[in-house]
Amino acid sequence: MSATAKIKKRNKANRALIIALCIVSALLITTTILWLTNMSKNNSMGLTIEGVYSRNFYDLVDNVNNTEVKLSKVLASSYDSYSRKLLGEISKNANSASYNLSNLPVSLNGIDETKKFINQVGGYTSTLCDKLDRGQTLTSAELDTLEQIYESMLILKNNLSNFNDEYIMQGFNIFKNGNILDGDYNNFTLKIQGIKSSSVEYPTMIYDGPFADGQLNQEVKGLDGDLVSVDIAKQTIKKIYSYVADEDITYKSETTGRFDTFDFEVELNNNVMLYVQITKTGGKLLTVSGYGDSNQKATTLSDAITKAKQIAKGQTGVTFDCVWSDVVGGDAYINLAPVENKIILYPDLIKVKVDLNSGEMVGYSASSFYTNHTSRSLQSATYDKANADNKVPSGFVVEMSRLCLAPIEYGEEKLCYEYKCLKNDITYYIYINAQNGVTENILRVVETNDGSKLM
Amino acid sequence: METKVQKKSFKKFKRVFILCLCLMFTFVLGGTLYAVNYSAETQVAAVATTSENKQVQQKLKELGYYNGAIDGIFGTQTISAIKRFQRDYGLTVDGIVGKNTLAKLGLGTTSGKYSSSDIYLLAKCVHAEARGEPYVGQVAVAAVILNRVKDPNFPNTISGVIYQPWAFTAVNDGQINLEPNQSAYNAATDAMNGWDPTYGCIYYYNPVTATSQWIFSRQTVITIGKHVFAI
Repeated sequence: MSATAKIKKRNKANRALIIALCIVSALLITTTILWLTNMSKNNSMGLTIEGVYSRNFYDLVDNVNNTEVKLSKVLASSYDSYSRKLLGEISKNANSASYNLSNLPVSLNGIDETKKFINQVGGYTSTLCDKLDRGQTLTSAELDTLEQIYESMLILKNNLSNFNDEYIMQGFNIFKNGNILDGDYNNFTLKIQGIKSSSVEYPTMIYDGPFADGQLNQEVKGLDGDLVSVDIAKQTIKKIYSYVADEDITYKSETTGRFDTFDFEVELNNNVMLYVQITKTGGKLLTVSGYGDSNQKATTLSDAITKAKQIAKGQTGVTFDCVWSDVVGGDAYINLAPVENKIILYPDLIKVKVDLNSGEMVGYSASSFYTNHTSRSLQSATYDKANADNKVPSGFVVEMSRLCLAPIEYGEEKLCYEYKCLKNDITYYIYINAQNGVTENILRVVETNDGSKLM
Repeated sequence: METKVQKKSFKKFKRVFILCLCLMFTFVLGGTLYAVNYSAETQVAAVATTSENKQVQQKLKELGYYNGAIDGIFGTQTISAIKRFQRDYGLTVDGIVGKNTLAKLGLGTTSGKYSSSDIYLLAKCVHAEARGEPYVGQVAVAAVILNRVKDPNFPNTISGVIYQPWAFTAVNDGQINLEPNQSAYNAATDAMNGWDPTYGCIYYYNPVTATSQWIFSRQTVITIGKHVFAI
């Protein structure tokens, strides 16, 4: 081979090598840039999240400290007005502490008791604050409970302080220790569980207010009768959807809880699937879940209301009035309440949904009715209606007024004059106590993208 | 002589090559940085536009004017639905969603309507957690979220419950950001209206995929589809 040919060959090889090197370098550079960009983004994201977690942790410590200090002041206070102010502040601090705690990456079952304790402290102190607002005084039992809450809060405060010294001050990274769940727990949960020391039992708070245990375990008052079989439960469904063939009503399972039910799947003629729950006690229709799959409206709202009333009466033997209705998409939502001595019983509400295309009932919920319906000795109104009329603020045009039994808060029922009023094109419902003239509640109708709502 | 010429041409090649390399490096670097920025910007813009378009399609669907997919894309089907709506409501029939059309749809800022952010968020969580489940199972998931709001062991707002760390798999894996379908919306609306087929449950899990041992210790109330609902 000549020298020229050798040089040519070498140059060719060099060129190929250089091109290959170029491609590899370009790829390497691109990858490095992307990797660095990602790394920088991830670091920045991690630092931001750590910042959010740290802020919530420090706010939690502050709020628990403030709660403990203010509780000690309440126990030292002999003035109701000062106690009321402090209890209001404690409630806010406890609510904020609960918010902070729920923003930390604690696994779901991590510190249940502490979360519940803090939430209930907020609810309990708010209830006591309302009591003082009404001019009442705290009982010795309530002061004892406050004393117990204080003792537990003191321990919680000290444990949080220890956690802060032992971990956070030593550079413990909440984000890194909280972002991987190993089974039920992450490292952060395991560490922060120590804030509830094994020696402390959180006190039981018995009250009717936010987060009270009693609100969660409401007694079912309105359900009686013998236990029924699956076949009888199926007959209840047949009475409502008479045209549906037997094979289109399928028994699925049973529910065991506040209501014990037999659960069925029902296929209507228009291929709409419903899930129907019949109570084992008395074989009553409790729930229908489903929806019409069309926006066509072959049935009027008025016909839908008539149908809803018929079904509710057929199931309960009680006469209902329609107290609320709205059309969302192709479904009519109808709220029915019984009427007794011309008094609307709002606690015993039944909710019905009718598909306006087929005219079939595709939704039904009678859990409020069966929870609350009982024979009540309804008192007559002792506060003069004319005086109650004067309690409606000026500028409100009254469109309708009537007597009703209103569920005020936390299971309490009060006989009220209900006023439907209009002001600046906005509809309000005002509830004035028919025994003492106190304004118990004001609801405002708000238009949303999903129909009208009461707030 | 030949070798000198060849050496010279090789040197020239090297110079051209280095220049090319520099140019290539500049392009790659510039391109990468641009792509990173562009992607972030367009993502934000796209989300904003499609989100509004989806609201329009959703509303048209609810009113019976549109039967297509809620995908945020204004194709011929959406435009003809808009035109039909405009004709019925006495608006200028141009197929363009302007201020007046938005207001008539109840989506404008001047309509005085409230945004249903709670229902939207609830529907998103239902869609992410229970799409493919029977309708009642979707209502049940929405009801569990609402039951948690009232329970002392959980945060006191719908957003607080949904975004509570480690509460929902769909939040951790990003499926919460999927656009909810009509069924999820209906389920969320029903639950907000008081439907609760679980009668107070605060937990649910899929026994086949659950990794937590603790969850199995909860008292079972009802099984709907693949989910076990418990207290």
